[in-house]
Amino acid sequence: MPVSLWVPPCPPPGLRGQVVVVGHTGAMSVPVTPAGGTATVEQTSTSAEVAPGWVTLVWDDPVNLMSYVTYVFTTYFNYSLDKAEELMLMVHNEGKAVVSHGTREEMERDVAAMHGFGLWATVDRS
Amino acid sequence: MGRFSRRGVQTVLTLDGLEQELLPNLVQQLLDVLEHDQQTAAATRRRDSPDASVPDARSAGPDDDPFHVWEASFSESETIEDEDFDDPDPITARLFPSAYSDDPEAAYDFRRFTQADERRQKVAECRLVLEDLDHLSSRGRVQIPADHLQAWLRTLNNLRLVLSVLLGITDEVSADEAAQLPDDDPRAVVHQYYGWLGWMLESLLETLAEPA
Repeated sequence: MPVSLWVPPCPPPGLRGQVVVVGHTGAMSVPVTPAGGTATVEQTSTSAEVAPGWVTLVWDDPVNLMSYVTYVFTTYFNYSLDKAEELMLMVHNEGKAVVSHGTREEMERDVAAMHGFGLWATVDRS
Repeated sequence: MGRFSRRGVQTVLTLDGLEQELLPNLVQQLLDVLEHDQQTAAATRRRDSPDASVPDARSAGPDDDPFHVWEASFSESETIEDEDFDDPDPITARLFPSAYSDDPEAAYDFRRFTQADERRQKVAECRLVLEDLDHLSSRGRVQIPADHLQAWLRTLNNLRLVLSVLLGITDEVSADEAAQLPDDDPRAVVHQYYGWLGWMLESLLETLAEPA
């Protein structure tokens, strides 16, 4: 098909690099740098329990949209939008982030789910 | 320009003329390759059986067909030997990444136990999308059932992943290079599709975020 004749509107440069927040009104907004200071790779558990020893790492990649990654974190892990964005930015800025912890079996389940969404994730010891 | 939109509780997809041809074409090709690999793997397992069958390779498309290069890498005689299974082609590797970055044995076991299921899921998602696209009206509109939205999201993203491999996008540098391909480069049109899929994905995410 003569698709070479069709030129879609050029997306703004760095589409993938924009921080896109899909807000409650459905409108996309570009927030200022989120508060919270220095991003460090930390355990993401909000409880005080001792991690059973394994974690799921999500790795940065040049394809997945930031908005998509945030969506996956809110949907699969049921994280708040704030937490999901924090983790997404950690992936983006640090190259990787711990997104869950638990038994090895649980982490393999989470990694499989991440792969189902097209994210790159690995199981690692905590 | 295509987009998703909300009409009350319904999600509606609208595609323009060229998009109405393009999207089903891309999804069908993704499905074909996923199923080709699936059948090839099954054929390998039944290698010694006289009933083993390998599907016909898809005929190669024109040079601006983004899947042309990918298809050319498959042959009728391709079988997934252990070493190939462990060392998949770049597209397979991107769709089914390794789960252990430093433990090849664990990675192999994980792949062995999960890849077939992951593939089946992607195939099912492609089929749902094609089913919906079959119902496009003459004006290029179709309602997407709520329980298909995840399949749409993941299929659009899978398409982006596949195109990124065809474009050689492995990091920010190669991503920038792909964005700056000259118009006469055959991959330039692939990058147009890639960008377009990004827009469609953003559009769907916006729609998903809207309150019901």
